[in-house]
Amino acid sequence: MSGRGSLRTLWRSFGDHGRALRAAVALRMLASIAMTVPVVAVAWVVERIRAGVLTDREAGAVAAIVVCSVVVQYGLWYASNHFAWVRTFHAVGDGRIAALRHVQSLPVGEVSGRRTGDIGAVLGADHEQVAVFAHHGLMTLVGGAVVPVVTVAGLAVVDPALALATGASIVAAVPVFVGVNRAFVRRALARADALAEANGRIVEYVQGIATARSYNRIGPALAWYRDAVARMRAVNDDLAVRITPLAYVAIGTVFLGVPLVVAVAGYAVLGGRVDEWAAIVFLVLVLRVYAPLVSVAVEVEGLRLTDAALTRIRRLHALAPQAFPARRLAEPDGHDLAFAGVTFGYDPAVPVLTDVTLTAPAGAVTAVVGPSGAGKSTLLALAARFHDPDRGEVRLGGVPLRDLTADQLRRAVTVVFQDVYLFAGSVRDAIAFGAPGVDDAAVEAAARAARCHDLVTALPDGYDTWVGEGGLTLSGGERQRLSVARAILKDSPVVLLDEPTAALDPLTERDVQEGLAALSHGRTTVVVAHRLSTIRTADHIVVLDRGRVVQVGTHDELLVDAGGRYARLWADRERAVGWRLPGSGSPGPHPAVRA
Amino acid sequence: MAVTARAPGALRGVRLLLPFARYGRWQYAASASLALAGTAAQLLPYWAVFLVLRDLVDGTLTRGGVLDAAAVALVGVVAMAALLGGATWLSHRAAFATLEQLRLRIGHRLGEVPLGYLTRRRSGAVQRVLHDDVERLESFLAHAVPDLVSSAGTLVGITVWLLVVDVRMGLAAASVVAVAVPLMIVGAGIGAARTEAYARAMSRMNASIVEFVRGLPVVRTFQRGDELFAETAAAVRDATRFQAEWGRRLLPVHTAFYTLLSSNVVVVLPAGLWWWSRGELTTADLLFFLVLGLGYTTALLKVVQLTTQLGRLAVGAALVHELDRAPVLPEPSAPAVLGPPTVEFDAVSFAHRDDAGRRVPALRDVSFTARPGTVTAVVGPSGAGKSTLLRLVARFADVDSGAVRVCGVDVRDLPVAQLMDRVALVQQETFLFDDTVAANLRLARPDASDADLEAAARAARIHDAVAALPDGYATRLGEHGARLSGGERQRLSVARALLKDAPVVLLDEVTAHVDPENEVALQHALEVLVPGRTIIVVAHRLSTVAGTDEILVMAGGRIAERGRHEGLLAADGHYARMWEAFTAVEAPGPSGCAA
Repeated sequence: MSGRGSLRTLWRSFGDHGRALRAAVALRMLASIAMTVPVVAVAWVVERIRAGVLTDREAGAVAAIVVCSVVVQYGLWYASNHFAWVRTFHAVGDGRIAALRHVQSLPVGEVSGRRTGDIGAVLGADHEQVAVFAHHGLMTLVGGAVVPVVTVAGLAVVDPALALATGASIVAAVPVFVGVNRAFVRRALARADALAEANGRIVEYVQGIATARSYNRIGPALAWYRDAVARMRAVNDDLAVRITPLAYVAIGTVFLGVPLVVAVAGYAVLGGRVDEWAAIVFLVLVLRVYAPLVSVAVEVEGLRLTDAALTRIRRLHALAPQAFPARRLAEPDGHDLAFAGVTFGYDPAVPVLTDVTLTAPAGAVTAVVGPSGAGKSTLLALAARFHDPDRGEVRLGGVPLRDLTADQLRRAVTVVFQDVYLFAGSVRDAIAFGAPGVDDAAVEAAARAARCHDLVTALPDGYDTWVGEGGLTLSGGERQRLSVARAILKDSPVVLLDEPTAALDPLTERDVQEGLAALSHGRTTVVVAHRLSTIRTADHIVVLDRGRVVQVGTHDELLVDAGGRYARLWADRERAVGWRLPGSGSPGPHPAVRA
Repeated sequence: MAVTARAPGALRGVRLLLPFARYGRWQYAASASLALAGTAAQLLPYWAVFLVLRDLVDGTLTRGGVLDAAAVALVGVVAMAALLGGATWLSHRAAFATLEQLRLRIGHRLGEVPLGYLTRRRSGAVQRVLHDDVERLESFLAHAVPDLVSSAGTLVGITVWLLVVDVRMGLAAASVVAVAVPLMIVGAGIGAARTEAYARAMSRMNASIVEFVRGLPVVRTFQRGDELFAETAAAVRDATRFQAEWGRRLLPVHTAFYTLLSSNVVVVLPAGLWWWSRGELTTADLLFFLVLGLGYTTALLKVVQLTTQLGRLAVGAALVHELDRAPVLPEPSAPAVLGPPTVEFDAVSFAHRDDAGRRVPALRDVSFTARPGTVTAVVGPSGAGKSTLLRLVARFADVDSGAVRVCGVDVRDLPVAQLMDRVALVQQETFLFDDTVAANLRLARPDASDADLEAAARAARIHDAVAALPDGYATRLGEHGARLSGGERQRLSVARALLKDAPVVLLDEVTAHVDPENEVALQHALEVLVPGRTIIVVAHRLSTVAGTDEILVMAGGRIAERGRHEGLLAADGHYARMWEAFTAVEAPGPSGCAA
């Protein structure tokens, strides 16, 4: 995480625009140098006055030089800012688009679920951080660092010994500054931990407030919260107490150069070692040389944050894209889906599926059942090639999924997700999403098959009603049926379906079921099933347990093994469905509870 | 000045924060005083340099004079570091005190506002403010006072000093400010005019990016993805163009502002030389202006920077304001006399406000009585008002018309604590604190013995799972009870409700998100909880409630039908249709009840 490494990365990440950034930096440096010209002019004037030889013409000339230098400074600053501002934003914009393109090429499994927020943050906030720093913080850093360096270097030409005196305090301040930084980083980590813990408590308080209140424990909960808040304050106080004095010692050390230079220059000129001209230059410049360093110190934090952002951006680009063949290699023969010895884990060391071999026959419904965590959803994800297996192969019509082009795969397979995402658009757009160019009649037919035509016509604008982000919010059941209509219209030979577990009222439930039956009719369907009717009527059932296939067969075949996993699962489910809440007329409260 | 949108309401933010700043007021005041003193100390080095230069020019420099000047400079530097350091330290502490009060106020209010007010969105907003916004406030508040005072102090102090020495030159030196300030106003005007459009372009880009990432799985399955990518890339380019355009427009004014402020020498030198050459300015005074006048106007930059940050204050303080204005449910202080545990709804109508503030009717003219010891079920499609009904019993909000009575008393006439003693609410989403199992259980009854806890856990069929944990009942549950599965958490929640031993229990779709294996265990737990109490249950599976004492069928916020299962079936209305759909879908096996 070194500062220099970050800057190099910044350069590189800017690509073509790197030249613009370098130009901006160079111009800023020149501008900083230009800023010293008036000061030198002042010194020269002062010397001429002291020597009593300042003529009107000289005074006029100096004034003109000063005005010119300010104009030049303006020009240089303008040009620098132009490159820094305008080009920076374009560079970051291009960077974002490149990152978007890269994300698009990644396996879907890398992008979905929990990763969504992280990736969104990289594309959004992290790029923003780079933009802000590059156009502002970096320039301040450069400008601030250059002035003292150039000044001292220039002074060295005039008188090396005095220049040394001027630079001495800067050099002396460096270890102090480094020490402050190190102390800060050390404490910052501990502080971050303490703050995270306190913040966790605060979040818990906010989320658990309803529970606390319903148990009349708001008092203790509040006391606990107050404790966390007080601890946050204590931790912050602690850091401030320790770091602030150190920081100002560092600042003070830098500025000690002023009395030092005053004394050294004064003595030197009295001793005849330097001439008056040199002494005046030093005295005048010493007042301007240290202040920029303070702004540098402030911007170092920005450098650190930008470095972290760049690291995350780099990591995103380092993720391997999913490889698809560029040209059609083979045509699937039929539409059965087969798993051959598939092993897979999100972390390869922890497999979620182990040595899975099964076939989902073409045109038939295959239900996948098993306890939670058995790997059912993962199976579906692999069938859709959201991930590639660590070992083994998934084949469609005999052709490995890896050998299908993106087009072939997309046309062959439809996934009906648990969590239905609708883009901002009309209902018609949502249903026709996978089948561009279809006419309204086809859309309506699909809606009818999915049992959502009636609900759509009941909406304010019918099929033209705007849904999704910023539009009408549909209920879970409505979204599911739209999702099924979408899948029906797309008309792929293979359907992968993760049956939602969310509760729906019976009427909606039946509509959804009928829609799903319409969808799976004649198609190779693999469904992670929860509903009794789905499982029972499936053509083929696969029982997964802890990532392995333990049983396969039809419902009746599987029930034969009365002690088997399936039989037990089925019995549980039947019991759950057949259960009734006891009405009144039942015995009193459980005696064991009244202690 | 970074190119960022200036948030509106800076002054409003300050006003909202003032009450909290009161808690640190002595420290803020002390910080300001020290900063002022520090600023004065800051001027001493300038004076020291001036003294030496003057003597040098006059030819009256002596060793003693040099030493004196160096001493003055030394005192100035040390004093400045100490005083400004002290000022910063104090202002940090004051800031932490202010923030503590802000957080405490929010926490306190959360315990008072109606639970219905704390929607998921609001809860999320509160968490965000408590974390992010308060942190941002922190860095601002910690530096605002000393920075503002020292910058303004420097600016004003030196200007006054210059004016005292020579009015004309003082005016000349300060003239840049007179030109710079209108420039700043013009620049702010350019900025403000575009702030809204800028914010919109940026948020459109961010929304587009989020949609891209979230929608990627859908797009990959249904479309080629070119269109989505193109749309998102276009949004990015738009925002980038906007940023660049804004930068371009702001550039001339901004650069001029900066240049002017850092080079008032362009006025001071020519003016000074002019008057000096005409003998209207002494050499000493000219020197004085050249030394002190150079670059002191950069202090104005700091002031400008700080005012742009003021806008950020608005956000966090605004939330507090909003929370403060949230309605509080009035409650009597004295406990009421309670009758038997009946729950009665008397012509209740209720509408709640959605996130956009619109009124959404939830219940219309609902009347029913749940007698003691009976089980009343509420069924109907989602959005029919079922959960709302339960929440009104627990007084999450007050009804618009009619009355809700528990134990014969209107809930508005009961102190909340007394109501919560009598009512237990078990919901789909359990909340468990990051504490031991025992502590979570004792939430219901702080003085429960270990035997009590175990009895309740056994009854709820969760004892074995707890005993299997590393430390048994003393095991910490982790965030949100993460060591237990969903079903186990629910059973713990039931155990908690058992411990509470309230006569009225409200069950809100408790078996909804439980994996089927755990559902049977949970059902057993509920069998223990129900008998002898007044139960109102919203069930997610229709078969569950077929044996209850009364079933209320809700549609569109009204009770459409009511009665027992057999009677409702015979009536062949809503319920009969739902039951028919239910059996068609769930197709219970031989062990279940046929329709």
